[in-house]
Amino acid sequence: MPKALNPRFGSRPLTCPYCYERFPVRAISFRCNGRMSRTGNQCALRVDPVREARMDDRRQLGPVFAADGRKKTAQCPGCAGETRYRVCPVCHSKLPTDFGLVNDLLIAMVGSKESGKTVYMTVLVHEIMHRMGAQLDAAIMAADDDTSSRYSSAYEKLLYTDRQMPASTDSAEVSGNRVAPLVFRFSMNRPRLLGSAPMHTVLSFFDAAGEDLNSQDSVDLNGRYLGNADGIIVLLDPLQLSGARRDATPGSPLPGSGPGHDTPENVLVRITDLLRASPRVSSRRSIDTPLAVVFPKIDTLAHTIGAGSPLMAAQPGGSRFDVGDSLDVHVEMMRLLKQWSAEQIDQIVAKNYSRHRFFGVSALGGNPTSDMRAPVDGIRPYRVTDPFLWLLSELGAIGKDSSGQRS
Amino acid sequence: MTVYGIDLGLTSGRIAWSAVPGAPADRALVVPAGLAFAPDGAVRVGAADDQHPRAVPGVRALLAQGGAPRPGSPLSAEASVGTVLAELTERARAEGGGTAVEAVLAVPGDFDVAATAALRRAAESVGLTVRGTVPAALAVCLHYGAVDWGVDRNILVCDLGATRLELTVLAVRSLSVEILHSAISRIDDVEAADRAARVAGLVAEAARSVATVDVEDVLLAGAAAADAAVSRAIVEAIGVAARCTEPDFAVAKGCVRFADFGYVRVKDGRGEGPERRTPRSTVARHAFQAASTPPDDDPEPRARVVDDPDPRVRRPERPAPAPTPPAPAEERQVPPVREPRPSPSVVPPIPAMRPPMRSAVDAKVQPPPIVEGPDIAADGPTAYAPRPVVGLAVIRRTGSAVLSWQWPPDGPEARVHWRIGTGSNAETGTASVSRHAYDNQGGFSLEIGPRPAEFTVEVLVPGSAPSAQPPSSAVLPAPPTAVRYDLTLVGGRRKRMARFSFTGDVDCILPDIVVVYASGRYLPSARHEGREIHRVPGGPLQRNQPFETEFSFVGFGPGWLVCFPEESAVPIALHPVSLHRLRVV
Repeated sequence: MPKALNPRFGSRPLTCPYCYERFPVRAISFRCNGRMSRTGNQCALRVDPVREARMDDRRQLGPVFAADGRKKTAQCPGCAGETRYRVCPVCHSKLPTDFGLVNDLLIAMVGSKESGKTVYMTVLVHEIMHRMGAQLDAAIMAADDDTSSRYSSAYEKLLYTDRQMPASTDSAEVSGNRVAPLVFRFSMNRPRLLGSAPMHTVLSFFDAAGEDLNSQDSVDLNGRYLGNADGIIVLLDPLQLSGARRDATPGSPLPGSGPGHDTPENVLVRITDLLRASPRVSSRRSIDTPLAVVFPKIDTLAHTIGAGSPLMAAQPGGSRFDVGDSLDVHVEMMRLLKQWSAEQIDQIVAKNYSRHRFFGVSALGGNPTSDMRAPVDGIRPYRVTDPFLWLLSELGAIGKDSSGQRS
Repeated sequence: MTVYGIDLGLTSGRIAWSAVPGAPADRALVVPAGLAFAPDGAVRVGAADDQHPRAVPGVRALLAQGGAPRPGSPLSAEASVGTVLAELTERARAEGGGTAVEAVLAVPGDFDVAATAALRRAAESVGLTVRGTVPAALAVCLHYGAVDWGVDRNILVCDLGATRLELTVLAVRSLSVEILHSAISRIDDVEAADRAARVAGLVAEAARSVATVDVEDVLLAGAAAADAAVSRAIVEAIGVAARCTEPDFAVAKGCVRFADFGYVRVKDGRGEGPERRTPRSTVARHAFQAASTPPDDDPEPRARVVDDPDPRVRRPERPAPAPTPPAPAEERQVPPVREPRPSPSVVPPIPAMRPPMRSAVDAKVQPPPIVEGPDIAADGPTAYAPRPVVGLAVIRRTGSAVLSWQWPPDGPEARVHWRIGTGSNAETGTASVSRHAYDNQGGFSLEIGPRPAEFTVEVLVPGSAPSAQPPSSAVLPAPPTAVRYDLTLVGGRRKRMARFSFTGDVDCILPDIVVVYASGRYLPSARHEGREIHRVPGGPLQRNQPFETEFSFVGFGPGWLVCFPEESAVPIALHPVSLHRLRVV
């Protein structure tokens, strides 16, 4: 007897972690596994036109059929075999195990061109896997084979083993609006009234190309991803702010500022406009989606930051999100925005987002070399997990430590 | 635990120890280093002028001359030495040396590896556990405190005994010591009145022999060095003052210092002359290594002093070890000529060292382990040698130091040594850092608190030739005196009080404090961005004893309350405990 999904998920619309389309849980489809069934029948494998069109996937796959998506298994009407392959009814991507049973958090990552989104995402996942996991007593693992192989080869190996900086991300226009997010399964124990219980969260990281935020038309290409995201990380390169750019450590590679590049303020405005256009957002209220405004490459400005600044302090440990430390960083970043004559960023965020936080991070800890390789003294990330932890805490996936916060 | 430092001289043996374990040696005694025989044939440690035909005037010479017993003597060379060592330790115990069984042995300049091993075995045969062996010249440097972090000096050690003079020139670069030159000369053929001049002449000759460096310090050791005329003659000869503090026990007390000194790397930088019989290039030593007893045939690798004009201390030539690659392990077990193997009490010669592979950073204070590296070379073991690193940098993050450096492409592991704090309270330690752990941890971090710290880093790279360069070093100075302040708002809207508390890391003078109110969303960076609303008079502030002050705070809108210090003679760093807590609404 197939186990039914948790009823509390039955009424809540789900969002596919691959295509970010929303659908009710019962609409989840199934894909035949293509193996011979007990009746001796076997479905023919063929290219799925939906997968081909949306994901450029030309693999030979079993047929997709509709069934009660609230169940974990279904019987294929073609071969009468039982299948456990639950797929998105829109993009036909195989959904992670227990999708709909566990939390699914979609985190979109956008930012201005050359702000280092891909590097940041690579280092972030690496940090979660290798350092933060032990701190939070959590584990993160790829939710599907594609993410596993893509993250290992195209992201982690490239940066950490080959020491190569990643190339620019293809824009949605170039890739035919086919974006393949990296999907991970984040597991940790959450304390309960009696003991603790494992809690799993599906995380979908969507890395948008910077070019896609340079005009309203291109932003619209990513509208579905941003509009349906549970949390958004916006990377704004401080070196694209004229007030900070002149203070950068000599020798720091400066991002372009000519055609094809737009100011961080304008990028933020377009993202905000797109979110405001979402039917989920009331025009008379602030946007409720948590927005982490991340200023990367903070190492290039470290010499302008005082010794007592929270941006010079060690990253807090502990298994819960440190609210006080995060607020201190937020205040310090606001002070720096004023120092950089970029208060407009703060004003845009404050007036449009009910939940927002500023962060200063450094993914590499130093400058890449002139031939676009990782820093010669290694990758030394600083505070890269802060925005992620804040989003998880805002979305209820991890606990908060408010002891350092003013009551 | 008390550790004996033992200096076996030609005519006298000296032992030193400390009444307080770990402290510098404050007790010492001397016994003759010869064997005499009673009429009934009983052996006793006695004066060298015993006329008995089997008497041994100095047992050390037996080892230096190849370990053959004195003709007619009932005791082997090792047993003879052991008898003297036993006498030394027994007397030390009787003099309040407790029940110590550990010892550090000084290795004279004319000892080769076999002689050193024999000395070690002799000590162990009388129940001593040898914590380590140390070249006598290095022991003298340790006695004078000439080896330390940040030291960069060229030192001439002048060990003046009753019959001969041992001169050693060393280059001290932090915790890396290179022996540049050594020579042994007879002086017993010189009249006492002319001895000082002869010593000065030999010192000047030794100083000139090392053309590449200038001798900056002269350290005196040996009983005869206490003669003030020697010091004066040296000053006149080379223009460098000679330091002379307890010279007769300098070696023995330096051995005690070595026991708890930590890491020091010794490199033999003397040229490969034709007379070198046991060429050794580098010996890495670590005082923490001595827990296990070495095998009987486990001599200390040590360069033999070669510039020895005294034919009496020469011994028959031995074939030098073949410079070819080492034979397979099975063959080395039964070599045609017994080759010394590295002792567990000493880090083995660098060419034979393999990088200890660990899963993560291990910051415990312990010796670098000698462990097979499982993944270093698929086709056989690879030798690794230390090299200084490029681009060593260290930054302070709250109470931690974060180190970074550039890894060579073929360096799988680095060694980090540190000293935290200053003076007698300084903490030293060492850690092996794999590149994998470095990459995953984002550098190497160490908790140091608000103290200064010094680090050296060297990376292990394939190869057998040790580097001539000392490890890379970096210094993290102590942070300025810091006072942290916190704001608490008390009361409601009608009557509000702002309460500030100031807490210092150390005892300090708190300067006058100006409290500034700034309205708006942004934290003020300077006084002029707000207006002064209160002034806190300065005064003494005791460590970790908060000083609190409060004042009325009514009628102000949302903004920030920030403290700025007035200028003071001793500037302090004034930091808020938490930035967001300075916000008032």
